[in-house]
Amino acid sequence: MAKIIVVTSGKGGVGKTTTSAAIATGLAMRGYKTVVIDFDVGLRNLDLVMGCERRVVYDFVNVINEESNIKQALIKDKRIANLFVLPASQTRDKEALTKEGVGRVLEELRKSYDYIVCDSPAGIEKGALMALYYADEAIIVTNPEISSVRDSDRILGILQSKSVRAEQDLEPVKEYLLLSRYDPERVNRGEMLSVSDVEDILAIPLLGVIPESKAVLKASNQGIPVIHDAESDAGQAYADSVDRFLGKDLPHRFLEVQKKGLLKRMFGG
Amino acid sequence: MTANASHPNNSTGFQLKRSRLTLTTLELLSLELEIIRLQLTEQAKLAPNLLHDMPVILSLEKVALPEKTCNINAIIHECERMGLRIIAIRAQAHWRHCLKTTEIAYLPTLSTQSDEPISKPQHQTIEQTANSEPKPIHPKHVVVNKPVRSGQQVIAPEGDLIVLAPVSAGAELLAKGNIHVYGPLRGRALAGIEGNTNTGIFCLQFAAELVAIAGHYMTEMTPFQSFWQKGAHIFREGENLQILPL
Repeated sequence: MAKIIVVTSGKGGVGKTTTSAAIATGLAMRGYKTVVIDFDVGLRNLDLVMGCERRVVYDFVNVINEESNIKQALIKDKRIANLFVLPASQTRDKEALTKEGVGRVLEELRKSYDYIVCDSPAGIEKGALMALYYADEAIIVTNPEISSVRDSDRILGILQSKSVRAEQDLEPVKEYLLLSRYDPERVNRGEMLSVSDVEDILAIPLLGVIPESKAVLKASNQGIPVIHDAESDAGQAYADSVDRFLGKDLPHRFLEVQKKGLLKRMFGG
Repeated sequence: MTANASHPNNSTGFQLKRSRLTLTTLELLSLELEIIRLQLTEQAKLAPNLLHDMPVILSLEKVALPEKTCNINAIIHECERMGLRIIAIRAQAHWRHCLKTTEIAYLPTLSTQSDEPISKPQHQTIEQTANSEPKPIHPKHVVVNKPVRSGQQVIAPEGDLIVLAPVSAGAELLAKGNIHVYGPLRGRALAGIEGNTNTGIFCLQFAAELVAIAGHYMTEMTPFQSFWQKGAHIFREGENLQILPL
């Protein structure tokens, strides 16, 4: 039986899709059969970040409306075996996501996958609610700034009151904090919230800290999830996060300002 | 003060007054005479004067009525031999038959006592509070042990609100009674929402966006700055909100 993971944040532009792509890829790289679903109906992005936009024929909404079966809509990743993408529809809106429809699709996927990663749209409306409704675990992507933290707090409240697990009084959704776009230099200057500030407010376990990195934008534009870039700090930070998610106890990296060597300073790094 | 002054009507010989007093209850856990005797002797050794002339209520609530002979008289005799003065026996109704021979006043158990209507309730307010047993936590209080997140609202419409977790900025607590927060209080807290000015807000880490008691609120916390992030008790004094360290 697959575990359903929702990647959510409340606020837009904090790195949900980047994270969904990286975490799903990381899980598949470690041998787990994984599918990542784009819930952002109407603002389809995940296919771009995963680099499969030219292979989209059927989408999530087609499957919900039984216009195609799941096998036809799933796109197999080119790089990693075990990894599949279920893209969103670009021509529909979030009303196409129904509780029954989403539930039926997830139930079918549960049978043959280890992990189902749900990439939530921003906001707290239908799309976001549907993405988190069936979740077993949640990765809350937060930027170190107060508006993002407050929105994450809001979404945590919704997870604990409007998910299936909350409604049926089951064990609550397991929550993890993923702090992205972290810049230790700006934290030191007092321009950015520190890891402990955010942990203090949200009071959930920290899965990882992703440093602000040029590698992320580059990876998105190339359609290669940043976790493939093992040289980059962001790629390594995501790899650590996946390992932590799977139960490994790793120290957090990239929390301090990295000192640049002479060569790096001369030739850029 | 003379007797006449306190009883202006001379034809009155006495007055029946309801009074409350604390009494020791000897609660039997066994009807084995030997066990009871041994324990009483032990007790007498520990505190020789404790049992002497001590008025007690003998409670049989925890022991079952024996099917055959009832040795209650022997037990009473043993207690009295040790100096105890049994003034009443409290037991369930089915004991009454067996207790007839004891010639000691019978008291119904506390639960049946409250079920049975007391004739002529002349001093109703006193009777209602006469049950001096410790009461469980007021059922109208609301206890929350999960974080109260931004956008969530928790209401205790009848009593106190007790939160054992953090209250985030953008969260709202409302209570007819007091509000107690054991995690950081960063959200809004409104106590005494039905106008009770004797309510208060108690928190271990004060960082609220807004505090209100019985309709009087404060959002600008500058006067309370020295209590920021510390334990605080906020209450109402006249038209103003006041704060004290906890």
